This record gives sequence, structure tokens and C-alpha cells, in this order.
Amino acid sequence: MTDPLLASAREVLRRTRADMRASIEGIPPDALNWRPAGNDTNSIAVLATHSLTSTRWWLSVAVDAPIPDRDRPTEFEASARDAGELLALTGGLFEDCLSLVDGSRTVDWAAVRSDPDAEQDQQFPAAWAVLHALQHIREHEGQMSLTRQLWERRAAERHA
Amino acid sequence: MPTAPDPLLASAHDLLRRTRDDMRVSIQGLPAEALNWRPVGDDTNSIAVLAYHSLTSTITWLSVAVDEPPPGRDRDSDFDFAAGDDSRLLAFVDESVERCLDLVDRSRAVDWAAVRNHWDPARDIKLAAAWAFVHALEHLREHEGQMSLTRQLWEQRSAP
Repeated sequence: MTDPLLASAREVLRRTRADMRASIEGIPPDALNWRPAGNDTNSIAVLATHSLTSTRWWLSVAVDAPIPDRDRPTEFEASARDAGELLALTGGLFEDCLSLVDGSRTVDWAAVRSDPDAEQDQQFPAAWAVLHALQHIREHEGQMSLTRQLWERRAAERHA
Repeated sequence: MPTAPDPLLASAHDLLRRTRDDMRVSIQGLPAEALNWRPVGDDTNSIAVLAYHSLTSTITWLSVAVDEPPPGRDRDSDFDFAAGDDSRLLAFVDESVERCLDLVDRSRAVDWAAVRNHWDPARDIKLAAAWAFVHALEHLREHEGQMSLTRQLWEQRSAP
């Protein structure tokens, strides 16, 4: 029988892929790289790059797969040349994430994992890592969606 | 002999507390006008609506997940909610998260593959307990992310 947590994770990832696509498609590079409240906020390109790279990393921790390379600070400097490029990047990362929660896996959700990058030894159950991964990507997808709405209002006001 | 706590429930405890703390940061110190401000008019939601809707939804979906009777709910009215002031909204957040924490009490035993009914009896939808649980957590975080961005937008708008 398929693990119900893995099946639920796949559904969240597929829904988030559709939501992110709706936030990215059809807007120009200016919009993809626009920070709605200055440098304290993130652009759609940064939110997509950071959230998916993080999700792939945390899902790898959760299912005890090899940890992918990651340079977290550069995620916040990401920019997109156009929507097609960003959609290609996110599409590849979603595929990586979906393969990590493949239904054929067997995961002991009580197994103790640790954060390979943490300075102090932080331990948590595998279940925490997968739930955190899913919460984190939805948090940033929600911000991407709001950022697109803000951009569209700004563009409409400019053309009024 | 005591049994080990369910790793999903134990993880939810930690993640709910983190989200409560982040919601408090988005609310604390703001006037009612800011709490009820919609950044892109009626197409977007205020901090007060996001807090009320997301927490009411989380209580409902966690009830479904752990097979407790869901509270009565008029979902449409979530989006009309207005906050009187930050202290009352913070009290609502704290009380709601306590209800969530009770629902994910570590002493529960939950069959995550069990089939549940959608909380709305008018919708004949069957879903796995794990799906309801994951949805409760990811949906909450999606809206917390929007609360945080909405506060940043308000502060930028109000800056001299």
C-alpha cells in the first residue's frame, strides 16, 4: 500500500507546481524580478528558486536521499531572463521533488534525521522534515501569488 | 509500556507553534486600519482575514484528520472578518493554536491511511487522514506567508 504521507506530499507538490506556473506565466522579466517592498522582500524569481531548492533539500533529508549541493545565499540573488527560463528551472526542480516522494519508497517517519548544515546538532524525525518542506514551499507560493497581484495592479495603474 | 509518540503529531506540535510565533510577529503593534487593510483591494485579503480564515480552516481540517467532529463553519463569512485591535486578534490566534495543539496531542493514535469525509457534508468527497493533516498545515503556512508580506507592504506604504 502507498504511504499516505508520500501520496499527500505528491498532491501538494503538483498543486503548488500549477499555482507557481500561474504566478509566472505571461509576465515580463521586470515583473519576475520586482521586489514589492524593496530589498526586504523577494521577487517571484527569488521565491521560486529559493523555495524549490529548499524543498528538494528538505525532502532529501526526510527520505534519507543524498543531499543535493546548495548555496543558500545565492538563491536570494536569483533573477529570471524570462518566464520560459523560470518555468524550465521550476519544472526541473519539481520533478526532482516528486521523485523524492515517489510512492515506491518506504520511509520510517519516526527515524531521527539531522540538519547537515546546522552548526549545532539538531535532530528531528523524518516526518518533521517532510512537513516543513511542504509548509515552506506553500508559504512562498502564497507570497508569489500576492506579488503577482501587486504587480498587475501596479501595471494597471501605470497604464490608466 | 508507553508507546512512542506518533512522529507526525509530534512534528505538527512544533510546526504549529512556529507558525503561531510568526503570525504574532505579523500582527503585534499594528493599528486596526493595518490589520484590516487589503493590499490589492477586494481581490486580496487583510491580515485579519488571513489569520481568521487560515486558523478556522486548520482547526477544521485537523479535526477531520484525527477523526474528531469538525466545528460548525460558515466558510464564506471568514472573508468578512475584521479585527478590532491587535490584542484581540492575538488572543484569537493563541486560542486557535491551542485548539490545534489539542487536536494533534501526542497521545493520540491515528491511522493516517484511514478514509475520511470532507468537513462539508454537502461535498461528497473522501480523502485520506494524512491528506487532511498535511493540508491543514500547508494551508496555514501559505496564508502566514501572505500575512508577513502584507505587513511589509503596509509598513512600506506608511513609511515617511
